[in-house]
Amino acid sequence: MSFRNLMDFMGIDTRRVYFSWVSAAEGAKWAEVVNNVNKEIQKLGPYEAYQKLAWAGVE
Amino acid sequence: MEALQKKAQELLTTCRANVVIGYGQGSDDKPRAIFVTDPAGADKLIFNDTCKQNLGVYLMKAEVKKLGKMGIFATKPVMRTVVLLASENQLTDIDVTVIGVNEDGSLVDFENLQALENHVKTITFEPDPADKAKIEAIEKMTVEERWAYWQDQLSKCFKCYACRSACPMCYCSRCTVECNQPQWIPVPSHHLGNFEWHMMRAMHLVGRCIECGECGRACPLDLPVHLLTQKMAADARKDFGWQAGMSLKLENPLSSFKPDDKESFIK
Repeated sequence: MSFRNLMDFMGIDTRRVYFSWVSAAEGAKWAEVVNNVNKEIQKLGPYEAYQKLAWAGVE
Repeated sequence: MEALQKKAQELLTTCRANVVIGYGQGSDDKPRAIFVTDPAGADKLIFNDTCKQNLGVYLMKAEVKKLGKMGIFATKPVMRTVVLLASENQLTDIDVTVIGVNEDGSLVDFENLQALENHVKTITFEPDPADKAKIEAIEKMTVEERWAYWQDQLSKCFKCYACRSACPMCYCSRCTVECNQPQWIPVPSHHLGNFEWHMMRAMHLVGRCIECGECGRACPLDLPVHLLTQKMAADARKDFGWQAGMSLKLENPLSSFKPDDKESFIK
């Protein structure tokens, strides 16, 4: 909760960050989580702000 | 001020402390921390409105610890610092004697850490109103504006780690940023590395920051890094009803589990 708040406070798009509790025995749930994340992220498109950050300030 | 010097003398002569940590005159009329080991040197101690530094940080430095039992003049933030460090098993009654300094300069002699805890529980602590307003202003921005704001601020950081050195809670002798196998946090101070460093520092202070603002004051570039940790402290208050440094019992929200903890976003 605190970590999510911190990311949000620093301007990271928290719509792209997912938290889930999946046991090693829950294969079906894992597939569902990954598929859902994949679907939602595809809707949002590439995270360009972050891509820019990764190269900013590098000579 | 005389009472303070007398108290320091008393601590040293009665062996309640081998070294007394307090404020002395520094350069440019600014106060600095001084370490008095000789009762004759107690007259160098001063106290006034400009004495803001959180002296608690020295309680965790090996160079000070080796001088023996430490006596410290503790303003409100320092009292909370000592309680928090004691709750994390970093200080015991054997290590430290605390003399509280009230805002009017009057002294409170704490017999032990339990007495300090009892005192701390009776006083109210308010975060700095100016900082609180800044945090609220940032919260009101859109996510893109916040991103731009922090990039603008943190891109100036050259990772001198003064924020870490000034913080009494950052006491690990080996910090993750110095660990290079594996290297969790990039060493260069490019934008991404700075972002990661400040995020990690704030995370390590969740539920532990006592909002003294020392990290922000220590920053040579005046970056508002203290807003990150103070935001975390405000969230700990809001989400977990937790205020750091008020109890000798270790119940930090991130290191204790309660069945009624909220976790609405974990699916």
